[in-house]
Amino acid sequence: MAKFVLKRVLALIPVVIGISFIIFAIMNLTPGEPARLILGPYASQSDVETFNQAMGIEGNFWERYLNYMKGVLTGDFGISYRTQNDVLAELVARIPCTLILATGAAAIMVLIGIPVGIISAIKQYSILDYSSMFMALLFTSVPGFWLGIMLMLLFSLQLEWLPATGVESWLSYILPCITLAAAFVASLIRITRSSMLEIIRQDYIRTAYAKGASEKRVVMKHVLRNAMLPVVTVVGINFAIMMGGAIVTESVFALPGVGTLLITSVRMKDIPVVMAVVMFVAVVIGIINLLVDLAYAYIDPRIKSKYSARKR
Amino acid sequence: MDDRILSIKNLHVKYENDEMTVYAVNGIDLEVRRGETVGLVGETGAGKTTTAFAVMGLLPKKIGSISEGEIILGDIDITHATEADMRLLRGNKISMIFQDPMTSLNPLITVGDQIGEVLELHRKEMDKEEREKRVDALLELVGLPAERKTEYPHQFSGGMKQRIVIAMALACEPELLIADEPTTALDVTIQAQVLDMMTGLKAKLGTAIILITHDLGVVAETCDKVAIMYAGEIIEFGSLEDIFAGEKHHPYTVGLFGSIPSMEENVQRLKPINGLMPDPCNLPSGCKFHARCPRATEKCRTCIPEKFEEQGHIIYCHLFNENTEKEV
Repeated sequence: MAKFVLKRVLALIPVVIGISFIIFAIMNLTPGEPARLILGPYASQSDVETFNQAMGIEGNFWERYLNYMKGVLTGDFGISYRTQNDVLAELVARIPCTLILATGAAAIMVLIGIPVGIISAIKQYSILDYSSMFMALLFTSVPGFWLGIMLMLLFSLQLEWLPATGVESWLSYILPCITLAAAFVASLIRITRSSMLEIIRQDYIRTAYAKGASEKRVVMKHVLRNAMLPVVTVVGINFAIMMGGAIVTESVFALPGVGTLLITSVRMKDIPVVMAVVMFVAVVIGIINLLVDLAYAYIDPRIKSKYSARKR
Repeated sequence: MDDRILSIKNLHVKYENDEMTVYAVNGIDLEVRRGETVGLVGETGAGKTTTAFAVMGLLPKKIGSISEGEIILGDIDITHATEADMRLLRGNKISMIFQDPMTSLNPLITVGDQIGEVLELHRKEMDKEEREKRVDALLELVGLPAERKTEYPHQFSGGMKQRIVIAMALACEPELLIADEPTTALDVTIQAQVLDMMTGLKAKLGTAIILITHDLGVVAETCDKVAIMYAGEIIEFGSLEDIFAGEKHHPYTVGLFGSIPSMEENVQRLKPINGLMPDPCNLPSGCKFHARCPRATEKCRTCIPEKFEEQGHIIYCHLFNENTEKEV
């Protein structure tokens, strides 16, 4: 198993290199000079040249890419064109905010999505099922920015219970977490429900009933664990998306997270920052996928034996 | 002395949804005595498995229901038992072996725990250690090494899985074991092993068995009595000798035997029964077999045949009723 984990971690390296190249190419080969964007339209040619020299924007594309990658290997991600700060420091400063947001939203997603999906499947075609399906449809259909603004209007302006934007205390995270979680809750309800319904139809569930087990016992002992495989995948993917792309939510609530950093950097063609953020997201997704696979092996002995067979 | 374990009287089962009603079982009578093996034979769709599910109380909820008749197990009327009462019977007094061993076991639970679950449910007085011992004994009983109980279903072959399913069904030494095509999914050598084992276990434990199959070879090897089902009815019932060596037969039974290749005669072609089983949503009038019967008369189309009985050999066919009328 340890070897499997090591292999998977090592497999991340070519992925990250590939992604870094693609993003570097896109950022450099598309029109628009960072210096012109940052210094403004009235900057003189000599100002632009000084800027380029200071930021190391020299030589052809390959030279620049290799220079950049050399820096990355020694832990130097360069300095931001926009703020002149160290990129790594800037990124690290943004991570806690995104991490809290994503973890909070994931917790809401799991705590609501899975139980509602389970109940919905067990009581298929009941009022509970129909209302949870309606809720799921509603949550997927409502755009995040609109929901965020509505929540802000209600809880911040009308009731004055929670702060509207920025980060003052943990209270500031409540509305963003709900906003971010909404659409993911909906997808998790649906996947849990359909996965449960799929398993309930299996022969071994009938076997369990034939043993004299009660419905409650059959569901708890036989259906749930089997139904969790696709659910774990979706939870993992959703969490990865939240870590890398909560751009709308972070923008609406003006949170200093990774998403807002990425969007401002892309706008200003702040290439070193964009590169660092994208590689960070790639690594996070890779690690989450690995954790999902490990969870699979924990749940399903068939998958576990496959992993250990590879070890031999 | 009454050694009847199961008696089914005039059982009707139907499946209903918004669009249609399927009449799966239409008035069958069946008795099973202690230590007896009764074969339930018929084509796919004859209502064999539905009968088994009705006895187990495992008809699909909301769709399937017993519309008439009664099933009495020992002294309990299953048709009026509550779900909680049924739970106490299932796996304990009656248990069932399903058709496909590949999918009958939970892939995520060790086989030992799956066998142990039956004991956990019905032998609450046993502590963990006793349970483990019993699981070991059950695995040995079906010819599997006890130390493999910590393995998962995917680590066993099909025949072994079926043995595990059988061990599970026998855990509480049930009075009645319903085996729904236990050998259909297995290859021939394993089939023989599993059948031998079931016959041996019957002798050892005195369990009565209802063996559902469409394989007459299996019936000849294992059964004491045979019921031939067609379109939700038992059209012929008798001892193994009555069915295999008797002189009088329902034309459907004759047809079934005609569909098996014979070793003695050198026939060029098999004689299949022409046509298909009638649509269970829209059953024909009179004898349900009349459309496919080579000896059907006008009477068969309109009148439901009466029971003809000769020393326990029961046939529902107009051919024999006329004979009896003549004889009387």
